[in-house]
Amino acid sequence: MRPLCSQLLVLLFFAFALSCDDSFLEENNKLIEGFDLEAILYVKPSPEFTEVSITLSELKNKDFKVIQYPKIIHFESLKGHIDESGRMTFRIKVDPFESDVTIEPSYLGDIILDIENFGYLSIGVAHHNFGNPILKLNPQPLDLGVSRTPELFTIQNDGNGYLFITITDVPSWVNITTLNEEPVKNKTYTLHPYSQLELMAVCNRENMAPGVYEGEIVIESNDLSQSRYSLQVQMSVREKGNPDNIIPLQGNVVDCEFNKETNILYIAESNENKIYAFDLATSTIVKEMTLTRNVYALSLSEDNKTLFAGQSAKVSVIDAGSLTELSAIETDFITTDVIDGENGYYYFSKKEGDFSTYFYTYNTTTGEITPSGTYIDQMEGSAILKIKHKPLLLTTRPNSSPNGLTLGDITNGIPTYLKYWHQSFGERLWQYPDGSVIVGKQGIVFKTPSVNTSDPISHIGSLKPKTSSPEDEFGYKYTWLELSGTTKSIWGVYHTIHDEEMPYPRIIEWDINTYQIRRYVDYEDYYTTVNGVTDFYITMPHYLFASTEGNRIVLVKNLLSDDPYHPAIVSTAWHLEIIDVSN
Amino acid sequence: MKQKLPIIAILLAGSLFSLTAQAVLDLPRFRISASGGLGYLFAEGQENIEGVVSREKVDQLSNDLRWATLLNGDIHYLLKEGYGVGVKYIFQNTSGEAPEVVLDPYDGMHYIVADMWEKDYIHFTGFSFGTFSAVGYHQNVYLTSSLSAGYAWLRSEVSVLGQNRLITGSNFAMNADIGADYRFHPQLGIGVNLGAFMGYFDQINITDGISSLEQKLDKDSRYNASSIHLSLGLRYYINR
Repeated sequence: MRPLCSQLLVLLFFAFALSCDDSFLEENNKLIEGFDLEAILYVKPSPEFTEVSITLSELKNKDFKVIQYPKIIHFESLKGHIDESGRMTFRIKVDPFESDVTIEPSYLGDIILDIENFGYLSIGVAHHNFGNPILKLNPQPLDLGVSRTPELFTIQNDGNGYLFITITDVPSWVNITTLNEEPVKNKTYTLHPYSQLELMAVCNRENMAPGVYEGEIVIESNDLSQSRYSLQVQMSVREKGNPDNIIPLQGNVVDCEFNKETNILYIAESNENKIYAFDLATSTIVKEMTLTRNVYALSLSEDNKTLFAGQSAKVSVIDAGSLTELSAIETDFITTDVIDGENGYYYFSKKEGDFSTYFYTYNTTTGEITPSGTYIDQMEGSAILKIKHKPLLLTTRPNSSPNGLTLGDITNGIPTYLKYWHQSFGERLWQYPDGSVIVGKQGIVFKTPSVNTSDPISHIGSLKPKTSSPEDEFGYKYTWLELSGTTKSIWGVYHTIHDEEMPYPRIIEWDINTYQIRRYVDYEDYYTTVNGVTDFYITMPHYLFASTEGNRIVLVKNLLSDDPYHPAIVSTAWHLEIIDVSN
Repeated sequence: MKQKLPIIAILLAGSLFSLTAQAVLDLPRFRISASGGLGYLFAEGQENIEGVVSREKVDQLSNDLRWATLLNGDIHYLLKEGYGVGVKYIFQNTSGEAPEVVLDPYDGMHYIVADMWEKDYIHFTGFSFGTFSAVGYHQNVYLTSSLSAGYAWLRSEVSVLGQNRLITGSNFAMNADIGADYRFHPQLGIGVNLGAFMGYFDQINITDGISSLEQKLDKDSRYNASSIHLSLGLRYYINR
């Protein structure tokens, strides 16, 4: 029995000895390295377990266990294995959580894994709530036509979210840039809610055969409804030459008049001092005449029967139908405009008229010429408009600010001052076909004034070059305006170097009653030779007339510099362009 | 106070048995006992442990730590009157583990996952006073009781959040038990004991192997190793 007791005592001793082993404390001395995964795990709420995989090519065949995770995440298993390819997978579900729409990711915490024989690996967890961006393209499709000028188009974000867009593909014949001319391809842009990115498309037609080219601009985005958009784009390469609707003109055009009854365009040019009669119906010059002095202006009487050619010290009265001189009136000044008062008197605008004399009244019976001016009869301005069907003149000063507006009575031939308004409407005035409304060259519309009209004159409308243009008390810069009663349109040539969005001249049609923009009409470049180089050149419309039927407009154009900010005419290459606007 | 009542009852019962045996028995001179069995720690645990998310795992760990394995041995010199004095040694071991316990570090963002385990060892050595009385026709069954007072040593190995800690402490402790021996050989017997061990540790030393910290625990957080235990073992008698 003694051995048994001894064994029991030994057993007790072992029990005591085993309970005194401190080696487990040595584990505290183990240094476990920590690593941060450079990638971020982006999550969103999911009620079901979803597999997440991360490839860690340097870690293969290792067990791992999760030792920390964000509260909103639930792991199906907190242990796992990295397979032979380094692919680590785990399944998680994510509780619903509130998040604001922000461009920055919301940090949700870190997952820390204890990887066998490696250390701790920290994986950042974040959530992106970019909201619900909606991509819209304007215009769609994009027709670049034959234009060499940059065409603008916008990528809009019409949703309450952040839109990320990348233009991944464009046809080889078009360059897409920002307004600062930075290439955009394969760059990612961020559009804040309800904002837009304005881009320019410029065609490169070098060495391309004539024809129509179509392609698509591919835009990748985070629009939830459609991540890939295609903007159809089209352009044309012209035959080398001008189309039939462009008619070259000889000389340097100084003035034009248009007979709306016969669709005859009268053109005065100063190189050979000729007047051409161009028939819009046949697109041909049907008559021409040569003047004996330097021509400065051309005017058409209200009944369209008589032409007046203002020249150096002479005004020719010409039969508009036959283009023959009926009479010649000798003057001692240069006449820049002639108004037939329909009362036996003509009114001659003086070039560079001033306070002393702005214009003259010519008595067709006696041949007497009487000056008008500030110090003579208070009539101010050498730009004269006779109000239709009334013995009233409106004059304005072309070269001073404000232009001012003077109303004069011509019942007795010699103008009688009635009223003056110290306002600016532009250096030239147009009137509605019935004479009820006046439109100034700055696009300001007002009722035809009478002696009872208030001072200042109230505006009844304004012609804006863009729907987004703000109201401007002083209006906008129009080169020419034209009123068409048939289509109830106001046509205009808009050009200013100060409009970066619209640096090149644009043809605009407004509604004559609402002054809302109906459309923009494109026109052609001009194929000609400048300084020995034959090519297409950008043009500048100086005059615009609408046909009687309203289905065509005719532009009288010259060249414009390629640089819209330096729009000096580089050459004399006047021509006509007839555009069908019936659609 | 609650723990003291069972001990007094055990002592009274043991005294009664010894008085009965005093008149008729010729007890052996020495009684050596070695037993093993199970114990149950009846101390109340902490209801809510701050920061624990997966409470069920920690509860399971707490429950596992209540069940102890027990070894004890004693030797008594017996007087003819049925009393004996001697020494007693008790080894009590509890252990448990809770894998993947989820904890809240209160950073407002994360949960932490940790494997927890705990191994507690109690060594008790004390002087013992016992009573022995023979009963039965052959006088080969002894009713026994003993009351021991001495010193207990705590050794607790704990691992939480990957950090291992050794907690040690010592304090006075007591043990009381009653039992019965069946003497199937003049020198051998088997016996069964039902006992209660009382031991608290409120002065502890915590070490991680590098640094140590002495800590005084308050009444609510002191380590209570008190248990009731049932053991079965061999008895060796050295006769007069």
